[in-house]
Amino acid sequence: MENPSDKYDSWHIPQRQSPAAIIIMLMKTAFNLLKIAWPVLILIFLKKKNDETGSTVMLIVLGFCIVAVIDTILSFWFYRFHIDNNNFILNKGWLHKKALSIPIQNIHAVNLEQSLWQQLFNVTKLTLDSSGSEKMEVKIHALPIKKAELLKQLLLSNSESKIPDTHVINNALVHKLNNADLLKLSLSANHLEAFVILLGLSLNALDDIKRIFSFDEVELIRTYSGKIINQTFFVAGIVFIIVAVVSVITSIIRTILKYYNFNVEDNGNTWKISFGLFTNHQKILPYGKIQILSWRANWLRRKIDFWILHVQSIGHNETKRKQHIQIPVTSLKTILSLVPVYQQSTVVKPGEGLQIEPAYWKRKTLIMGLPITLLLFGILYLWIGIWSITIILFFIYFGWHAYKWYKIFRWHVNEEGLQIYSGMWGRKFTLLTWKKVQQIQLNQNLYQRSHHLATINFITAGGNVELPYIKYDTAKQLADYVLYLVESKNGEWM
Amino acid sequence: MNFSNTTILPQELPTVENVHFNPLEKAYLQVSRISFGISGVIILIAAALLFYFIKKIQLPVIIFTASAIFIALSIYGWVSIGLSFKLSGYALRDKDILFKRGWFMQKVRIVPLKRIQHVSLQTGPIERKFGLASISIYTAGSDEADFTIRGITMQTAEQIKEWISIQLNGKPQ
Repeated sequence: MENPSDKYDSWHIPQRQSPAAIIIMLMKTAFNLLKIAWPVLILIFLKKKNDETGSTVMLIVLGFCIVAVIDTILSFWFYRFHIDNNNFILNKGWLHKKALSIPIQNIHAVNLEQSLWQQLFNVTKLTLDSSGSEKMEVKIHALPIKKAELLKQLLLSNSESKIPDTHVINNALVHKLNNADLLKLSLSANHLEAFVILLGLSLNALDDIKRIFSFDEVELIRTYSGKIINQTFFVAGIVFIIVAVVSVITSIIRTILKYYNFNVEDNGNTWKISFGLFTNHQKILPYGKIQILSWRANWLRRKIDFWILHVQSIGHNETKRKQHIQIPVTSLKTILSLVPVYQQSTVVKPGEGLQIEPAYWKRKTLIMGLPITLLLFGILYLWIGIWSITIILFFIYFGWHAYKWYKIFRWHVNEEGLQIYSGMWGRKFTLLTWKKVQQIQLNQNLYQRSHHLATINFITAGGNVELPYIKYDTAKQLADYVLYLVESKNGEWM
Repeated sequence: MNFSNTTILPQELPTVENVHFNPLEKAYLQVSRISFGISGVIILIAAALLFYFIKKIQLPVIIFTASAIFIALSIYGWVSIGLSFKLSGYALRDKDILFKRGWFMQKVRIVPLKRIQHVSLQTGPIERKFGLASISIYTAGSDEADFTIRGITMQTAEQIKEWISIQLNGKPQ
């Protein structure tokens, strides 16, 4: 295999992306423009050809396209990167010039990704993940695969994290999703989410169509009121069924596109995760970068023993949060076999461990449930009058939900970390390793102060874990203990 | 082979409870109230303009309710600033830095020095007038400060910044 150091010298010279980047960037711009301007385009095609407004709009669109092409070419031309003095330097922008310098030792992940376009041109997208607290987004749209692999190898070999080259060491396949698993995953997904998105899009599209055709649904209803009122329930039922079926199909397609050929390989201290049908994602995750590990299942998935393992690595902000990895796993047993890479201690069984204080569910019901109920009562009273009293059922459900959540919640502390078991309909396990903690918060509201209770929050570089409503003395002891562990030991934590 | 496995008793651990928190500078109470007053005046002007230009809302009931809410929130804010000031403080220990604030929801934040990535010092126009400054503590993974100690003198802020830098790198930042 080619030694990366042989090519090291060439990286000192500022270089551009592969020319395929121009087409990929243009496609991206065109797609974004199309997403915004599609109603206008439909309008232009539907209007008569001699319409002057249509021609003007067409000219504007054409103007936009020319500007987009020029901007893309100039952006490509001025986008250059190189390595200098152990720093990855990126210069970009032609109107607003920007220079980024990232110390190589701060780079903790280099991701390669191939969408359909990148596959077509035999190039790959390269993104860098660094641990600095400043915003440093590096996205190289197109690099020849060999060159990208070489750059990745070079950056990681110089990184402090000393991530091993996943191509040299033999990877053991530790988890894979087959077609049946994909079907299970898609059928048990949250179809409600897809339903709402679809409904939103349908309403939006209806709105656009109305604008194009000057369509007035109120007038239409007036004209055909007799027929429509007679068939309202029938039509509503049909529409509901169609949208529900389409939602399920959408969920299935989304899941297959995203998780096709999902597999996790392990080389001893790194997970290599690859997945995707058209867009091939490849993520390298060193064990040491995992900040919080959790796995959860909704009610249906719990019944079929299907879990989503959520890996929180470094990054608090929204852009980096997207880099958190979700691994669908077909059984709790498989998850328990993956967990030791983060925490060696045995995971406690449901029902084992300590409970939080009962004040939690009572206060939650009073402070959140009561105001929501009163507000809903007020709104409904104006609409249905005295029948709005039935909203009390919502209040009872809210209280019962909070009570059940409190009854199920368990926490367990050991020398290595914290384990939390929670959920109401679904279930969630959360693991936190003490050495990952970088801030502790002891919170007390007025009620907690008067009842010697506290909420303790452990903050890591990848998110936080909260332990609500425990005894104040216990919270203090826990804070002292965790501080002692963090402050007395020297070890890699990020 | 050197190996030790000393038993650590929980009661022997240094406790957060026994920490002596340094109070904030008294001038900070004035700074907070001036800032609060300025915000109040801006809201008042905006509300007055709204009532002047929108005739539909020039009803005694709306004006009375809006005034009552404004006065109630102003009193709450004024009292809250005083209470929060009394309960705020910071502490520096060998291995960590602590900051507490808030009266309705009191938060004590503790950051081990080992986890600090960098610190920054800043001062606003009103703070500057009173010779005050703020110091922000940053850990990894976040673009925002973990916490900011406000209401300390510029000299103290510089001393703290230097002390943290020395603890982290062995030299001032």
